[in-house]
Amino acid sequence: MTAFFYQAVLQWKLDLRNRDVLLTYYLVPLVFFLFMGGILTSLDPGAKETVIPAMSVFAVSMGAFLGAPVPLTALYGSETKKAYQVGRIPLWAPAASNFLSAFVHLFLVSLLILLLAPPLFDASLPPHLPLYLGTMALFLFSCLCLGTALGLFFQTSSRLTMVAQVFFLPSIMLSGALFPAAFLPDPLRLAGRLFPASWSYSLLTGEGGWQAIAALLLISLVALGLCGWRLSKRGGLLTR
Amino acid sequence: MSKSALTVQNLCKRYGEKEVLKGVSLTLKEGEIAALLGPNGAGKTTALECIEGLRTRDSGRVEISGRLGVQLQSSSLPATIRPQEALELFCRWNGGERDREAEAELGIDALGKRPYRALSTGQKRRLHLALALIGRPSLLFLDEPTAGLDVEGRAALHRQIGRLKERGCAILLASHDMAEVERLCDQIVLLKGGRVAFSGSPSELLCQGETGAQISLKTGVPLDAAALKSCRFTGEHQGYALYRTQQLDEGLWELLSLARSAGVRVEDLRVEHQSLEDRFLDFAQQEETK
Repeated sequence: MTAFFYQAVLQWKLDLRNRDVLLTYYLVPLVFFLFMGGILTSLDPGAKETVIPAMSVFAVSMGAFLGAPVPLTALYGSETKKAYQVGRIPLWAPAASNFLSAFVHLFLVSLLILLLAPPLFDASLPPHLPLYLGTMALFLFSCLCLGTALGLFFQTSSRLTMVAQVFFLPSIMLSGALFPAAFLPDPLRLAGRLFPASWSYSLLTGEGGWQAIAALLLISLVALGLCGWRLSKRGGLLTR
Repeated sequence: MSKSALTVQNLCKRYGEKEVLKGVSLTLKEGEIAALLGPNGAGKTTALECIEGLRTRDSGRVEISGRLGVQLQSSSLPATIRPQEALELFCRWNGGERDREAEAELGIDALGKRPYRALSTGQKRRLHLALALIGRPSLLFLDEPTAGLDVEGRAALHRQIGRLKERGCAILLASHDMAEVERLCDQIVLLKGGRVAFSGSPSELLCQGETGAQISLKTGVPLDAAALKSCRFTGEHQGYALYRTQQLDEGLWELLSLARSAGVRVEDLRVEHQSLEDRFLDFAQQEETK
């Protein structure tokens, strides 16, 4: 356990040293928040109620789909995997430590948005803060399960980049975070339900119920199952 | 009598229709250094990976007594990890102790806080060797350990290998550097077409098949090789006629006499004794001609 704890803390530090990961975890989501937060709240004063969940959904989706899988593809698609295997580091460990590190980084970004939005844009804080943070944690968990599956399934960064967009763009466009999902045609609105973002956004804005929680748990479970299957196929154990 | 550090019996591996390993067996005793040699495609990497456990074997038995350390031919680590962090990470998962003496010898401390991506090829190889030495393994696999190392790095590695041997560590080495093999190894295992074609000491390999010396002779006009008795014409290379002889003095005498009697001027003459590399090439060529 101490070995895994050391690896998780180390991964957190490695992420801080990785420029690409920092861009997708912090820089781009926060710059987007500063621009779009200003635009949305100026155009529509009603957006002050929803700017925090909307920008948080964007930040988490971006980090989980475009950032978190990158170190995994770099590791499992390269000779590093073999180096870890001969060094007796179990193959689940890098994936799990990357998950935990990304969780902490993206939770911090969500907290930054939560803290900065009221003074910058006169945004309203969520009425039930603990519930909001719990929902955010569940959203993060669900998105990172999918992000981890992406990182395990694709061995080259070019393929990963293409497929990650297939998850990221619908998450943002169909979730209702940038414009109300009610304006979308039914097929697109239903397609949005395949991604954690639409369920989480409804929960974060106080509209979703147990159905949304169950959907997020189901998505997480399916993604975790895929991760486990993929890791076992990659031959994570020494056979000697 | 020293104990076996590694016993491999009848190791078989097949990729689809292709049988890559056809019953490879080898034994390595404590403190022994063995080289696994063979031409490209002979099955060296597959054999090593099956023994290491990176690949599943179809049949056969692999027994390793004690801890195994492995340095792969091509290996990498996360780009931003620092050498000390990598050593600590591997050490914690292994539950063993770091070999500080070996790390000092390999110059790991001097690498400082540089990230892995900023290390040179030689520095990376030294770091991977230090990782393989975590927990003081009783058996070590080194795949092309000196590739990319400078002269100093090579010397440090050879000193390290000597130290490990003294400690009783058995080492299985895959290398293309025959001088290194000749200098370091007690045993040579030569793979050919997925089988062990030779297993024995370097001196035993040198005595196998045709021995003696090679005479390279540069003359203005070719000599009539059919008349030779104590040496044999084997071909031409860069303007030199190549002759193989079992008895150097007789071969030289005959060639020079023949040249003088034919009135041919000898422009240059070189003598080379057969090296381990020549023997290895002979084996490889035998494979190609089969």
